[in-house]
Amino acid sequence: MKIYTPNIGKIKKTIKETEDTKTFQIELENKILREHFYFDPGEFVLITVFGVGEAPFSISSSPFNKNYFEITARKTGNVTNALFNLKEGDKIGVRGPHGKGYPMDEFEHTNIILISGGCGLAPLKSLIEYVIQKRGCYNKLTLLYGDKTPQNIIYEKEISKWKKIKNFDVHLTVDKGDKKWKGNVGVVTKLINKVKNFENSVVCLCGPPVMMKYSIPELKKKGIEDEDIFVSLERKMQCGLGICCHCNINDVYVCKDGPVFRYLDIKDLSELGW
Amino acid sequence: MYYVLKKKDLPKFVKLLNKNFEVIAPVKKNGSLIFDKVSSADEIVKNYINTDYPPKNFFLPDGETIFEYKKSNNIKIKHPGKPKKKVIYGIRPCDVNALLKLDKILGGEFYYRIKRENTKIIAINCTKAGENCFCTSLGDDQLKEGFDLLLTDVGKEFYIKIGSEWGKKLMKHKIFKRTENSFKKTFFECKRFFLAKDLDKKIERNFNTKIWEKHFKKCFSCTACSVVCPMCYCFDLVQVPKSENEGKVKKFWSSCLSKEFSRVAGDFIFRDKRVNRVRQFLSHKFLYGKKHYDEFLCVGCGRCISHCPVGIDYEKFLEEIK
Ligand SMILES: Cc1cc2nc3c(=O)[nH]c(=O)nc-3n(C[C@H](O)[C@H](O)[C@H](O)COP(=O)(O)OP(=O)(O)OC[C@H]3O[C@@H](n4cnc5c(N)ncnc54)[C@H](O)[C@@H]3O)c2cc1C
Ligand code: SF4
Ligand code: SF4
Ligand code: FES
Repeated sequence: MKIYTPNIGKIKKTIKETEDTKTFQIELENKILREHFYFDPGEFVLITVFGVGEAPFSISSSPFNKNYFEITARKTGNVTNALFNLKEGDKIGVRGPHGKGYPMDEFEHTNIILISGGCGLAPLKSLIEYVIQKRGCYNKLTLLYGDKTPQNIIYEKEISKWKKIKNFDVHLTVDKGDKKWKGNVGVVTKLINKVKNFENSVVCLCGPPVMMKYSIPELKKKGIEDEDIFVSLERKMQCGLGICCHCNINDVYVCKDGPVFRYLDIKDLSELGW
Repeated sequence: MYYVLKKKDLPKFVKLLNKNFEVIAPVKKNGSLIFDKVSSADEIVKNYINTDYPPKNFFLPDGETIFEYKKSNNIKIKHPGKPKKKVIYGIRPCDVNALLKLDKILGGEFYYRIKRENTKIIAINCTKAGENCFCTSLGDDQLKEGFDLLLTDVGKEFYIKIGSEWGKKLMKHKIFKRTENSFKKTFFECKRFFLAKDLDKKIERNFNTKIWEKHFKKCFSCTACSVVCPMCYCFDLVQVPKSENEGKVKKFWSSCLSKEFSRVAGDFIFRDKRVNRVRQFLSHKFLYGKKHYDEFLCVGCGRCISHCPVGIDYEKFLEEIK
């Protein structure tokens, strides 16, 4: 199979989230592929900006959405800068969905606690929308989201909608507030104390390694087991299919075995780095 | 049952092959023994233990085009045409075994498979081991499959074993004589030797020890060992624009021994320490390879040892590790 050749997608819409972050609504040109674009929240796509390069992005939209999917990209280098400059109607390359996402079936009838920092909210947004659409199957949903400043907060429109949903608690925090900010200030780990009930709960973490490093001991204190903690990992990627070897951490391949891992399965990997 | 080819008939054999194939064989170029295209038998180097470089580039060319793109209102993608039919003459069993192992990993890749399908393999058994060879420890000196023809040099003649229908048809030519005779096998064993059993477990046991520092602190990440390794296949996909609206995506060899290999945005490097990269190189070959493909991703050709500018000797390490 021509596994490194992307399919063509069209940017249907761009949404400016912050100064350096945009959400892209992407529609695959091929109707059959579009209709068979199945994924679990947490999976990723490889996006090609022709003439520049390819990079992995988590899918941030709901899997129930069949006409298009979304990614949210933060400017950090060549590909992300070029992507940022693309306009509605421009064509890009799409490979995937790839990887393993969150085990949504296993989460049924549990409380789900989401902890995210920065762009780590992207895959969790997919999970949130999934849960909202299948509300009856899941118990309480709690989102703890931290970012650098109020200006860095993404998905503002969605967040204000989420806040109104029953049985869905949303807590935000910023490292550094400003005059207008009336919410929490401090690292996201501090928000863990806002959660009242840790029974029958799973926790999904997505964000920088330090966030995971400091959150997990807190969660363990609350009685959460390693097998009920899910982390999303990041490594350099090229093929996205477990072949090129750029993304391995000891014997696991982030692209194929992850990016979402059960903490129990990866906590002892010596190359984890945190 | 074997077929016999008189060595003086080798030019006729090469001519016969050249009718329908590009013939690739060991030749001397710029001081190195490599595989390259030949048009007649006199270009072929006949007396060699193994080539300095494996024929890896005929299956995984460094910088091969994966596709071309053209932007207008739409994006048009074009794939390269079918590769020319080739025959590799004179490849050693270790290098054929390397291809068989690569098949398990890359068999799903169109780009690799189409080259494999279009390349015939005429292997020649070794009669002598080189000073850095250790294929016998890994069992990669023997070929049970993976060849169209397998030649054994018995002096003035080659004894030929058939490995495919194509090979069988070729033997109908009058330069080959069928024989029920057998020949005296020259038994050889590489001087270097270790027990391959449980190498994976040994590496796993030593993963977090100082042994890597002890053996590999001299490594300066030149990546030569992975360039010459017949089994190193890791790669980057790179955009090579020709103009604003067209260009190619190419696949380049990439080595886990280089710092760049694990670099992500923000200049974060996951394997920053050199010895940790050597550990990745060897763990991939002997631990992850075993786990994921049930193979050691090394065939004992010894080229990594011959090419290391600072004298790092992976085989000595494999002998010592417990
Ligand atoms: C599974 C996964 C999901 C991701 N999801 C998102 C997301 O939803 N939103 C977002 O903004 N970012 C996400 N990232 C990070 C994003 O891929 C990088 O920001 C991006 O690759 C940077 O590329 P660049 O060309 O702009 O940077 P450069 O520094 O110019 O990078 C050059 C090349 O290095 C590689 N590379 C660099 N950084 C990374 C990285 N972190 N991960 C993998 N390869 C990298 C890419 O191949 C890239 O083309 C994700 C990464 C992974 C692995
Ligand atoms: S690791 Fe060294 S000995 Fe083993 S196949 Fe590669 S080059 Fe040959
Ligand atoms: S050839 Fe030697 S110095 Fe170069 S990367 Fe390999 S082990 Fe290190
Ligand atoms: S990205 Fe190639 S192996 Fe994971």
